[in-house]
Amino acid sequence: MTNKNNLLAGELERLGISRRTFLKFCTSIGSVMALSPAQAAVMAEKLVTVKRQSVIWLSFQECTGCTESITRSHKPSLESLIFDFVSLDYHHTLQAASGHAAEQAREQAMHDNQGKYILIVDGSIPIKDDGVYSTIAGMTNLDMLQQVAKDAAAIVAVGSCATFGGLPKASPNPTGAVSVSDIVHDKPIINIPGCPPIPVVMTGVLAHVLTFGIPELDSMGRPKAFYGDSIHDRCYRRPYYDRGQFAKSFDDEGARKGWCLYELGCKGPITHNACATVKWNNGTSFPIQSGHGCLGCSEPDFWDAGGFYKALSTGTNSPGQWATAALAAGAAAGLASAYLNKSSKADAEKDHQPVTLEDMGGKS
Amino acid sequence: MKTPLNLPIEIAAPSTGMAQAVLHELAGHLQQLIESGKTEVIDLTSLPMSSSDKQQLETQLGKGEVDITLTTIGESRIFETAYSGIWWIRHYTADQHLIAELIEICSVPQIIKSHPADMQQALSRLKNTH
Amino acid sequence: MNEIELLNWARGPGLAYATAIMFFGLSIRVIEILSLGRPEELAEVRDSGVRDGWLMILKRSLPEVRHWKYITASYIFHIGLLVVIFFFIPHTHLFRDVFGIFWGGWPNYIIDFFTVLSIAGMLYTLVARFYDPARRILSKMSDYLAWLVTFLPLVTGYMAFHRLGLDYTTMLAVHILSVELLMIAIPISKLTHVVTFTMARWYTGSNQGRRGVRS
Repeated sequence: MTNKNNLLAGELERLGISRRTFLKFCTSIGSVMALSPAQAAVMAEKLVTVKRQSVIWLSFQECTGCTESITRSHKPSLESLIFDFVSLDYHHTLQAASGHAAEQAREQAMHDNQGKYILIVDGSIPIKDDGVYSTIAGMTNLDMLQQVAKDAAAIVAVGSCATFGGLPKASPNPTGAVSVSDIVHDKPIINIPGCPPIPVVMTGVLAHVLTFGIPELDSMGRPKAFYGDSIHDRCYRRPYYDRGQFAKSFDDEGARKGWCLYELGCKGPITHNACATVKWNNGTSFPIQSGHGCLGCSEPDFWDAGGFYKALSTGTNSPGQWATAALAAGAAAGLASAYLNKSSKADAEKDHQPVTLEDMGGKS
Repeated sequence: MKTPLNLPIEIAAPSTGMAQAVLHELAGHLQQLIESGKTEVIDLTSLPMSSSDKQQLETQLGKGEVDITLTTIGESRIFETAYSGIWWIRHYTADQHLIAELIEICSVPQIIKSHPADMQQALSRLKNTH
Repeated sequence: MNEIELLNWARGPGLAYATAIMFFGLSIRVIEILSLGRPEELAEVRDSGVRDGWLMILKRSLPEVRHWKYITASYIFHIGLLVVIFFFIPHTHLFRDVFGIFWGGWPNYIIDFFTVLSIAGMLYTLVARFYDPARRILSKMSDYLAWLVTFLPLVTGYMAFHRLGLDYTTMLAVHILSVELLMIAIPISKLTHVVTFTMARWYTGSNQGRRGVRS
């Protein structure tokens, strides 16, 4: 049934949002996503004609921070419009239904929109010991993901846990946590890493999926529009890095002057995210602007990539201890070898027989 | 609470000559608009312009006769530059954060025009009131 | 394995193994060499040889007029390499982390300058080695390999810093891995001279001094 109320156009009308406002929204999202302004206008015209999209949201080994990021960081705004518009058919933290009713809603949505719904996943999936470490309604996360992914049109992995395993996967990974893309191989997967991801990145990607389909992704499945540049590439403190002006501690003169935080462990150079341009809390600030280095939370295994406060150029396995041990072991081996050399030399000297005239065929 | 912290952070903002490049591009677009009626939009946020580049561009384009304020969720400031057909558009959120900055080459920016869907709705509202 | 996993391996296990191999190897080699001692002196020893040992270290470290182009290029490359290794700020943090001492670094533009000098110097020595008949005959595969493992960290480091070639994460990983290759090569090739050059020069000088030859 293609009732007007089923389209975003009807929803806009109901909320009293003019097309002008909507165009402004699409322009700002398009600008963030590096779409051409003409494409943003197309997006505005297209979005109003899309059907309410069924979305199933599965939360596995996660902290709900990703949901918090989307739902709470904005006061009712244009960005939240997208979420008002999609039909969020299952999200066990947000939905009113619980128990059997909740699971039934999920099954109903899967049935009604077979092959057409979007699956959003936050949290990693434990697979050790048959996945017993996290279950929902008696079903392991692994089983539920496989079941729901089967008939999904596309999967959006939200947050570093769903995209790369995140904190649950941190060494020694007691639950055998893995990412969505480690399990599902036959569906398009969009990875939106971050701990948590930036809200407008999530809404922007969703708007893109609804209008133009799956955005251009990089080798790790991340939308290039948001993850194409590193924090360092877009950092406003970059000129200080280039000039070699670094803060040495969090309260020295360099820190007060806003110099580069590389020496204090900033992982900006290897971290791909949009924090430096889009920023957080409605564009207020981002970690580096508030004087703290980037932790690299949107990259794989950020938790195990060495100390947060150690420079990127240092080792993660305390090479100093290895150097000391190796020096001692080498010294021991060297001494042993010296002893062997000495004794073979002594043996050679002992066995040495002087050459006599007779040996040379002469007569004594 | 709302007072911004006055941290003495200096941001290097050298002029890169970007303003001149944009002016050149604008001339091309304006000629195209005159000859074929094709409008064009430049997204300033996507260009690698320093703040002084942007300042320079704004100074050179100047202000024209029209200055419009939209009041949709947050304000939008739209003004025609001293060059007819070249419009400068700034979209802000409700808390005055700049979310998009564009230059549109057209006779009237698209966002100013009333949308048919909005007019349709207005019509039905009008009819309901009488 | 994605680029971050590669980088994490290079910064973690890779660096630890390379460090262990380098220090283990150098430690064996130095102790073994020292344990060889001197051959018995059959003639009367005329001098302690200490003065001549030091003199030889100094003398062999000074440039010579002979082959001045080649020697200048070698000089430039060696000095540049030392500056880049020990005074690039990110490197100084690695040393602080490993040895606990910190001497501060130099601005990036100085490091950049020395990197380019070193690369140019190394390229010159390679070309000279190849085109000079005498050097070409003396050069074996191991000499070219030693050149290569020294050259790679310089080039990959330069490329990573300037965001050339591969993306930064991969380039940084490749740079660190190339350094680890160099670290492993140091104790098992002629590159051991990073520690033995003073020992060798002192030995030659003092030997001569003990025999009454002025060095």
